[in-house]
Amino acid sequence: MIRVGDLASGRAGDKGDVLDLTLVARDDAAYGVLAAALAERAVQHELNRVVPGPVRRYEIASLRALKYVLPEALAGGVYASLRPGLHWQKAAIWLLLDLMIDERGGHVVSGRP
Amino acid sequence: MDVRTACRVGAGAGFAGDRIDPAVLLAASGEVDAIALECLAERTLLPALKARAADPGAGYDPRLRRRLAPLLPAAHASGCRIVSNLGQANPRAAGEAIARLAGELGCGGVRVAAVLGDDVMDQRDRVAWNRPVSGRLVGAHAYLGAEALSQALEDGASVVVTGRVADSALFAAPALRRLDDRPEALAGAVTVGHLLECSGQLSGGNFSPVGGAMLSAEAYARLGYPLAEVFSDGSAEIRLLEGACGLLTPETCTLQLLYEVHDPARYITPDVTLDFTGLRFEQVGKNRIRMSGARSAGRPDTLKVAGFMELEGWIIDCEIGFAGTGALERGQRTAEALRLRLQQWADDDIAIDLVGVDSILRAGSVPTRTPPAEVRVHVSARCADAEAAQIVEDEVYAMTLSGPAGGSSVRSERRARIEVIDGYIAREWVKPTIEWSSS
Repeated sequence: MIRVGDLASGRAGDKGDVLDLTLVARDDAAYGVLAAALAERAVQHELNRVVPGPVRRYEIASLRALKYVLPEALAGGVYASLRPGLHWQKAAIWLLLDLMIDERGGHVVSGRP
Repeated sequence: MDVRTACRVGAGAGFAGDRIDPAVLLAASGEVDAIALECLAERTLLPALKARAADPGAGYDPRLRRRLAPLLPAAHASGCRIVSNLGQANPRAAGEAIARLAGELGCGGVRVAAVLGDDVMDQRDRVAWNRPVSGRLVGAHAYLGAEALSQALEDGASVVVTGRVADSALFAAPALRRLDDRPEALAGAVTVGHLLECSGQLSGGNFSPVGGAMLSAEAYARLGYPLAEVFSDGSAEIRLLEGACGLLTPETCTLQLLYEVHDPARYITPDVTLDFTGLRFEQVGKNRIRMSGARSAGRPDTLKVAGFMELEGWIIDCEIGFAGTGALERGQRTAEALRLRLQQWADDDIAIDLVGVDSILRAGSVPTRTPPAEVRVHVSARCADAEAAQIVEDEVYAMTLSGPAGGSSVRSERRARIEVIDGYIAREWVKPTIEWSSS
């Protein structure tokens, strides 16, 4: 088992209702592991415990990057949020970085570190 | 084809409240021909529109003097030009204010161009909104491209000030007229603009490398903002000033490249739809990155419009703190009691959680192992009116007398309910104009 954040760095962004999460793998092997384990459906299953709606994934293998776009995650935009203060979504990348994955089986293991 | 330097452009600011000193360092270095400052987040326009409604001479960035008083003389001395959207809702008044300030500072012959035309409020019926306008529309602004900014520079502006433009356009404009006449060249310059538009976020800010090592506190305190030498073919070398704090690597560049981008093969800007799938970053020295491979996927026929709606009511955001042995348990019990007291709020309209435990990532939080020394119980609620907001605030305060021991350090704030709505308008309806002032 390995933490996603041990294989990749990441950053979260927002536009209106849309949350976007970027992972950049540390090397080609890590990219392969992440691309296999963090399929759209698995990521949606994990993230829907926190934010609503579907997940769309884009792959940019030449940059070792995976991009997850959640068009309904921030319903009403960041100013409609009921989190303390503004811009909670900047921390949302840890929803991915703190996932545990099975690097051989290529799947997400439930639970956080 | 010969590859020439088109422009050396510095990242002077990435949001309205950004630091002021990094831009001054870049302008004074003599190593940039232009410095661009992004000072207009989506929400920043709303107070600016209100200020303009109250006073026709207001509505630009209230930080204008604080930001430009040190920057104008440095840029004047080095011949570096300034491009910014700090005109916010009133670029014309901002242009006049900048010319006056330049005069006060003894910077003679400064020509300031105000680029107008983003305000499409009186054309709102021509906007195709993504969803129905449900509240009171306060303003509607189209995202302009780099063309009019570039024209102003071509016509001799030392300072170009505008309102809503694509962030990338501010940083691409100084290179625009010196690019090869190929779509890839434009795509490269706009990609550089996109990379620079968040200032320190390209050069080590908001970045946690694999393994989690942070920069030193001194580096975060004195983070250098990046500059880019844009070449005529649209490739670029991105770097920090010699000796500057920060970190420029292919990793920091890739994270910024994809920041707030959805489909990486189709990132729409007013000037060009960008395709990032062939992009390459190569480390060519310490804090030096060679960028190439930007591609164009055409030019959009429409411009994006941001509309601002004010909704009725407030969001109340308040907290009560607990410290000392048992703080977590006392906080948890307080949260439970507040849920009982505030049952009239629908689940979707109220959040009660613990700062220090789960208030940000909620069910995605890492489990607490050691109880925190302090916690804060947080309550946010959507309230139909000020009276309802007062009720929530009073219920939280009442826990200091009637709740678990030691409820303390109470704080509260109210936020107006704002919604930003996206739409599109045909290019033909948006015609930027340039107005001039001089010191």
